[in-house]
Amino acid sequence: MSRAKLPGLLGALTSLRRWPTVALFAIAVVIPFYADEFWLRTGFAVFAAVIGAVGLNLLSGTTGQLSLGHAFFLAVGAISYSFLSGEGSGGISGLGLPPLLAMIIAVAVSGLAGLLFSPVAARVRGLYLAIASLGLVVAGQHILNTATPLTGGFNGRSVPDFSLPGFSFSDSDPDLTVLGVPFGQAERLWYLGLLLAALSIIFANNLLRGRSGVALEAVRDNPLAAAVNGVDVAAYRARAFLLSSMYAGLSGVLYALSVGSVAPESFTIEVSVQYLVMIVLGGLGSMGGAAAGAAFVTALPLVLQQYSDSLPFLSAPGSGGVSYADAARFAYGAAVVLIVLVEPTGAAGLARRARKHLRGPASSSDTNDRERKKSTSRTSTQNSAPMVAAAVIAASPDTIPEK
Amino acid sequence: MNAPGGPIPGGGSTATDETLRSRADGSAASPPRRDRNQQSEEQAPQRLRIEGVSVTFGALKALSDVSISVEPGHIHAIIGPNGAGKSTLFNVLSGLYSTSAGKVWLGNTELTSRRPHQITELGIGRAFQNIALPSHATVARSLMLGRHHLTRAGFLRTGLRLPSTIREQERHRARVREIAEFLGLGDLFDVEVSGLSYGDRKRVEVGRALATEPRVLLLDEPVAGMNATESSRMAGQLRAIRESLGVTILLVEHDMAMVMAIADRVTVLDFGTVIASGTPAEIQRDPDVIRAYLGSADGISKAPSDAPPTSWRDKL
Repeated sequence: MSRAKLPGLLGALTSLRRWPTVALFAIAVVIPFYADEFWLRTGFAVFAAVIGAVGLNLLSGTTGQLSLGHAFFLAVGAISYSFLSGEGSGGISGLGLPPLLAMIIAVAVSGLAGLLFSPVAARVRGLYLAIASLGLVVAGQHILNTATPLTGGFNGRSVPDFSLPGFSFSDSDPDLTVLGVPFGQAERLWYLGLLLAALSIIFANNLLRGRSGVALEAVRDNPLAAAVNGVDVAAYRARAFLLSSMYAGLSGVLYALSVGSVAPESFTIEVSVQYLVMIVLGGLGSMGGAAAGAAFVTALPLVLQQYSDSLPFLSAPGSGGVSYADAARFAYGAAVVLIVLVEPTGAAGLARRARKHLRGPASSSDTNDRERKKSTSRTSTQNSAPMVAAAVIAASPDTIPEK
Repeated sequence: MNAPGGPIPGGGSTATDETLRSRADGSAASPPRRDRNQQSEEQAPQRLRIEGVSVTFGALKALSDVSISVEPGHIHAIIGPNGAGKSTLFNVLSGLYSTSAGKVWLGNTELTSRRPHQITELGIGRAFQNIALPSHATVARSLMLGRHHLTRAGFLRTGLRLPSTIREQERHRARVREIAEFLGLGDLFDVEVSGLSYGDRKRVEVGRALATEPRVLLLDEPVAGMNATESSRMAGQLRAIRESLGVTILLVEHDMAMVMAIADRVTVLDFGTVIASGTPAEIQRDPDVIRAYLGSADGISKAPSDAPPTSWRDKL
């Protein structure tokens, strides 16, 4: 276990010095030079989801507080951004603020919404928070459908492009060509998403390694022991909820930018469930795992849609066969069941196993023994994985609206 | 200090204790006492007073009118049959249960109205009977939880890993390493807790409570489930904690030989009331105590026992 001595972001980067992370990041940096627009847009949607999943993982994976209200905070972020940066027209109002400012305020507003709900989040434990937060999504749907000037009502509202002063995240203004590759909206958004997702993961990982992470995990593992060792359990539950809602808010802003419009159907309970699926598949408590889970769950339906013509068994939506959306749901439904049965620590656990195998069977029986103990020791997250899965299954609506 | 109540099971007590003491004093350097808080001046030793405490659960009186005074620097043992209210008393002291009557004071500060983490800040550390450690964390990380109230970095500073945060972390990690070495856990500092033996995990539990820099250390059955070697080692370490750190120790323990060997005072609880209090020698002669343990069987086999009732007869 290497401890970084460098301060700040630099230290954080060196703390992630393990080569797979660096390699992955390097690949992500060069992808816009090779991939076509579909993959870049898919990637941006994935980055948006990664931020949301990391936020939910801090709450549910690290602190042990299950939330089904994540879609609500995604909506708060997305709607706040659209309202703050949009121009009003046709019964829909907007403030026309600079998009960067709108993004920052949108995250703050999501945090405020989380703060308002945090007295509840502080007092209920685990599965009970899932039930309490379910109410947020129900209320959120009602607001989204009825507060037309703010949300655009049933039909939703469009989302203004993102821009920094002097730099627009669109196809022009300024026209940009890097190494012979024209940088349009998709390329620019890719880098925006990559940057924000990377910063989100780094922040979360730093949090986990430090004092806050020790306290949050103690709250999850044994609240009484946490309290007796000086942790204000209620305050930490509230803070975890607040932070998680801010992550969700940022994720919501990026989601809105990725889709280009926001409507109530984008923030249903199914979305909350999808986020839980992401962190279960990725491995509760592991931020890298959450990112992997987010990539799988977000990209799968998009990819299946793109290639539905060339894939067998898939038929067009509404034609009676298995549509790409159905297929994606089957796939990640099966993945959840498999993960809970085979490797409850998710993709992160699989990665740990793979690393162990890569190190080879040369290791002595002593280290094998230690590894075995390590793998049996993940009980706290192991135990919550089936619980999350149960919540996922219980909360899944029978009929899911087609996008 | 000799064990008046007979030999500690399975071990020449004095010899082991001597080696332990030399170990605690010599090889593992005793950590110097630190100021609990930089801002507060070192305070005079404070007496822990439990005054007329009653706790009821519905119709059940778990504690009735319990008064105990724990002198600073003492090792004070609370003994009694299963279900006597010992754990309830500890839960009152650490703020997990509220009382229906009575108060607890540390010096001039009332504890009963405070929440658990505030009580920790005031200087009450507690180690649990059932090991309550995160299984996947290292010894170092487990002990760092005890530093929580002594450190300040919030979410933002931790997430940004500011230089001041890292310095704070390093400083407290060094102190925690001292504590680990003091308890003979130095070699295991970066090992996951789940890989440790039962006795080592028990010591990590005690170490975490010590890491809060307590004035009073509450230990709930520190040697329960330990083998003879482990428990006499623990006995030596408890003495060392008291002597070199000046920490008052209040312990609940079923192991009579250990209690009689290390306690300065013993309080006996039975059915939620104090039936005797005094030095170990006085307690062993007390007719009420003998009656509680040997007399009527109904006082013994009430709760599902983690230590069989017969052990009481054997050990007294």
